[in-house]
Amino acid sequence: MSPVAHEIRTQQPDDAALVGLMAGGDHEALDLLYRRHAGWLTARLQRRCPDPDVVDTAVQEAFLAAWRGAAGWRPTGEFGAWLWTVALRRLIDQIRRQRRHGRDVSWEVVGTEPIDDGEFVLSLSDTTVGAELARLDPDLQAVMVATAVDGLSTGETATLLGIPRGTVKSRLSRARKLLRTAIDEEER
Amino acid sequence: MTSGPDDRHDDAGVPDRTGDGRGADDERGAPDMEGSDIELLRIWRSNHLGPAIECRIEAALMSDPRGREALGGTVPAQRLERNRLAIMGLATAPRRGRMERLLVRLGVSDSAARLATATPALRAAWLISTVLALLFALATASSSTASGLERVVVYLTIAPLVPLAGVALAFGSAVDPVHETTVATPIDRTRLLLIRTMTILITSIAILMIGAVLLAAPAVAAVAWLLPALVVTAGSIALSPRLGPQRAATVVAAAWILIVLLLGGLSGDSAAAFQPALQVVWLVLATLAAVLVDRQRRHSRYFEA
Repeated sequence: MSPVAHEIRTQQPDDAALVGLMAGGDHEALDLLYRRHAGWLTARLQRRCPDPDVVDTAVQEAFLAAWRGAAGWRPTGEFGAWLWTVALRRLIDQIRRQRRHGRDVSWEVVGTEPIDDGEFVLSLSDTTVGAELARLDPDLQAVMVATAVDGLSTGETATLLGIPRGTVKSRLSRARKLLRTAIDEEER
Repeated sequence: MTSGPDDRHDDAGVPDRTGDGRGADDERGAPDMEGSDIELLRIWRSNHLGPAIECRIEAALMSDPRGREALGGTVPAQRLERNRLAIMGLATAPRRGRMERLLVRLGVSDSAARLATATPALRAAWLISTVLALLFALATASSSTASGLERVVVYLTIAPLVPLAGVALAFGSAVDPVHETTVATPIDRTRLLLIRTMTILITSIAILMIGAVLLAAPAVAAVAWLLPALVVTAGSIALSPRLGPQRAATVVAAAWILIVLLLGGLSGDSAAAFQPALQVVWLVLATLAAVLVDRQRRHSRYFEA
């Protein structure tokens, strides 16, 4: 191990430094990144797909993509955010593959209980848009989260949620319309 | 990184593009982060608040390392360790060859490409011996004593044995370079079997087609061995649970040669086994063998992982 690599490791290296080490073929850097990020990644993907095998495959492929693409990675954002985007797309690929075998493993959208049970939960939706979004039908929320938050395309959202593209589009426009009306009323 | 350390690119909350939600979030989190993490996690796990709130909670938890750890804590350590081993195994495995990269680019999944190219039967030794065997067959067939028809018959008889030998090797006790990967990765044995058989069939067919061209065989003869090849390959897989892969292949190969000789001897036409009427029989037999393999897959533990 080079002195620089040693120094980086003993000082709780940040993600960008670890990616740099991975680009040089350092397996320990991959190991450290995995231990740091695999937990939350698996947990969040699991929320969007009930099949643990599909989730595990997506997690594995995302880390391998990071390993193989380390040399070309440009730190324009957090590594975690990049990893999430890659993993989510791998998850969608896997869901598409499963569906070809007749297995439905799409996002189980559940909820919603009334959100005004206590200050704490209400404070989570700390903007007008957030609060109004949380009041929408859970199916509409799911479409908004997939497109506006995770930045997925209409087709990817359709695969993730297990609904036709047309439904994604109509739910999206309905959600936008409801949000606009709600915010207009708030302002008045 | 363009902005401060608290900048969240993964702003997985409500579509709060104005940024004024961040400050509030940080203030709330600062004095008692652990307590609020626990509370957030509890709500997140209850799974009853709908995607928007869940997403907001994820964003809040993701904003500090302890929150990330809390999220990760919901996944069993054993599962994370299993995935870690699989990833490290694949990352430390030899770099992907040209063939494997090509397959991945063509849309084959990483694991399938690795299994296909790591099929023992595809190693250079096997390919070379296959080509040598074919050359030998061609040389024998084209010796001056053999007529044009006999040449073609010898070729047609040997051709189906090429994929058969490949399959026997692929599932025999031969050393398997990806054995550890296969153990570490939960993989369906049927899928492994199909991937490898397909790989062997495609490679063998390509080699055999070249052989047929070299022999300057008539167009029909160039493909007349295809169905018999499917019959013997599927047949040996179907017999494998009872006899073991190598013995099954030997039995099927012997039976095949015997049938060609018998049919040739009885009808006086040495190419009898390859005539159109018999091709229909091979088609039926290939289908039957495929059905048999499928049924065994369902009822026998042999094909289970």
